[in-house]
Amino acid sequence: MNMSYHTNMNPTRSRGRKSSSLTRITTPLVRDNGVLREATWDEAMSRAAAGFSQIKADHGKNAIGVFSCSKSTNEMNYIAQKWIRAVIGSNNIDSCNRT
Amino acid sequence: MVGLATAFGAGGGTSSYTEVEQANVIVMWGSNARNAHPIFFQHVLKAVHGGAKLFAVDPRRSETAQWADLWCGLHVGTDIALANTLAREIIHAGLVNQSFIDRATSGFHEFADSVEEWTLETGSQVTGVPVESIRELAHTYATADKAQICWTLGITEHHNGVDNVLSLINLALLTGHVGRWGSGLSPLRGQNNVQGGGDMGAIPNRMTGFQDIIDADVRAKFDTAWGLTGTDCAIQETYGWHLTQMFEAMGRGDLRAVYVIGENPAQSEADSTHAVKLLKGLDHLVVQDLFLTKTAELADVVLPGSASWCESEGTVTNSERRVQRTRKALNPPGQARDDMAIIIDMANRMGADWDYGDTPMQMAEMIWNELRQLSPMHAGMSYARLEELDGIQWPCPSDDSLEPPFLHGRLWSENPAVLGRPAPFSVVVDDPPVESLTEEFPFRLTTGRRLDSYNTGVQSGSYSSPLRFGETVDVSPEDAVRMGIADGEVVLISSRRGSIEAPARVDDSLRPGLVFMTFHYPEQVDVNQLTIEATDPKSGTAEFKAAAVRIDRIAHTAYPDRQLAAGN
Repeated sequence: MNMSYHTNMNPTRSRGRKSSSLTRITTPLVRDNGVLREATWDEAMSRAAAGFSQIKADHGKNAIGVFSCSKSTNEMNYIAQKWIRAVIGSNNIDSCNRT
Repeated sequence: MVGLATAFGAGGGTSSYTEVEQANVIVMWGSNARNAHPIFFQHVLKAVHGGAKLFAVDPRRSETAQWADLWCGLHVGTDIALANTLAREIIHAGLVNQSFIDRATSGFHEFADSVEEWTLETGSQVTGVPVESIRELAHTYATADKAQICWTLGITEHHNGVDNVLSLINLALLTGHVGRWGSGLSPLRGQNNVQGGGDMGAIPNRMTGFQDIIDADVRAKFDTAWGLTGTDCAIQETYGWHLTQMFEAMGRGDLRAVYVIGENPAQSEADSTHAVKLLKGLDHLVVQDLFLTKTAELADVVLPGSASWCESEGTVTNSERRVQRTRKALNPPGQARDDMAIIIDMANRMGADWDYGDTPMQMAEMIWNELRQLSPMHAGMSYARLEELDGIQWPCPSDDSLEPPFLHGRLWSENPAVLGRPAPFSVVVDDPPVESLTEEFPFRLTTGRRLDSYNTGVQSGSYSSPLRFGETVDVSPEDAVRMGIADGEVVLISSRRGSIEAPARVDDSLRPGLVFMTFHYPEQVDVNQLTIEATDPKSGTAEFKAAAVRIDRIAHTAYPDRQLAAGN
């Protein structure tokens, strides 16, 4: 994936210091035998949803929580809190502000 | 937000940016806005250039303080002592707004008694701010026509952050500097949508529109709208866990699965070593993010999302409560998906039957219109109207009129029915940082941001900047001389929780005994190994601003690749 649209950096004349060089994730990942590997959306979403359902069945709705995003939109935050409240049934959601 | 909600019933800054520009006096308290909120600071500068007096209350003589008429360099964690001293001086000098106090507040006498011990001399002794400076700030603020107090994490990231905010609110109540044009209380939010996240109910104690979960009518309204009445998922009356409580619950094994959306708690939490251990111990961790963060590396499932500012449709809400449209200019890269679409998919895979259309634009507007039905303060903000007016401040209950740009005008009403609940003064007790300085840990470490980096660096670390010089531990010239530390020399910084190495940077904005670091470079220097997890019981915010540390020399060689100057 070409991420050049994301930076105003002149690649031929790098100045200053970069602290890290994270690149965008462009494929879902799932953990197998301790290692993250690429997966299809269907597989990743199934794993994610099944995991939450299993925890809810085994440990109850309050065993699940959401860390929501203060950089994202109101609409994303609304639908995230609706998910934890209406789908899981818990009020365990907070927004952390330091990432 | 907790402090403002306690006093006024609404958790938002009370003023608009235009009012800040037109104020006569601006007090920047615990806020280095010149660096950390550079856009907001442009509004402050307009006021300054128009003749406003600027006060900076900050342990560091920060870039903001360098613009100020007066810098009050208080010791870390003595904000309440200073506020109480200012309050007593305002009372004793006869500068209170008595008619406002009588009509619109409660608890004045108890409050006045509680600050009686805070003479100028006592306050000066405890805070380190000279008597004359405290007096000047008190008199100038109290007698100003229009005065603003602005603050940020220097006030809130303490174990008693809510009390700190309440102590500032007391000053506004004493002088009537709230609820009218030009005067107010402005917390500056650290991210583009901190305000909106709370307003939307992405917090454990409020539903959308800042409506309290303990209110049965509120719960019933949401249960009905969401079809939860009588189901297992009917809104629980008890508050959920806030961030710190969720980590505590992980430690007890009560919280087993977490869905992290666009956050990096493995690096942003205080005492990060402990945080990573707890995240690793979860049965199920799903991380939705743009990047493979340290948190994502621990996940069972990683879902690539979209950037809110250029790949998403929707709205965000700024520090003056203005809701503004965000428009999608780009498709997310590769297979990355819209964040709303991922969450809706997750819900439907777990048995929900949510239909918000197919495109991000449809989803955003359908979600927005749903919440406008549930949140009176957003009711009058259709997308069309947001476009037309270039953003609207909440509250906006009506489709065809606008509220004043400042909150709590009711407090100035002569009509008790309009005025409603008086705003309470709060008795707040001086409470020093949890970690006191000792012979073994004699330095006060405070943390913050620099201009050209952003928080844990997930978003800013990949960009280069000629201003950036990597993580340093900033020490005062006096301490550098006393300890024989050269500028650039790598030193060992230790707290009761861990040790890290960083090059020292001699900074004459610091007073002896005070050292400063950021948390922008956790890969190289993980400052949050040092910070203390002590949290405010009322808000759950950790005391990032006050740890006790020691500094030891380890070598006499300077960091070879250190660059302080622009370019190389």
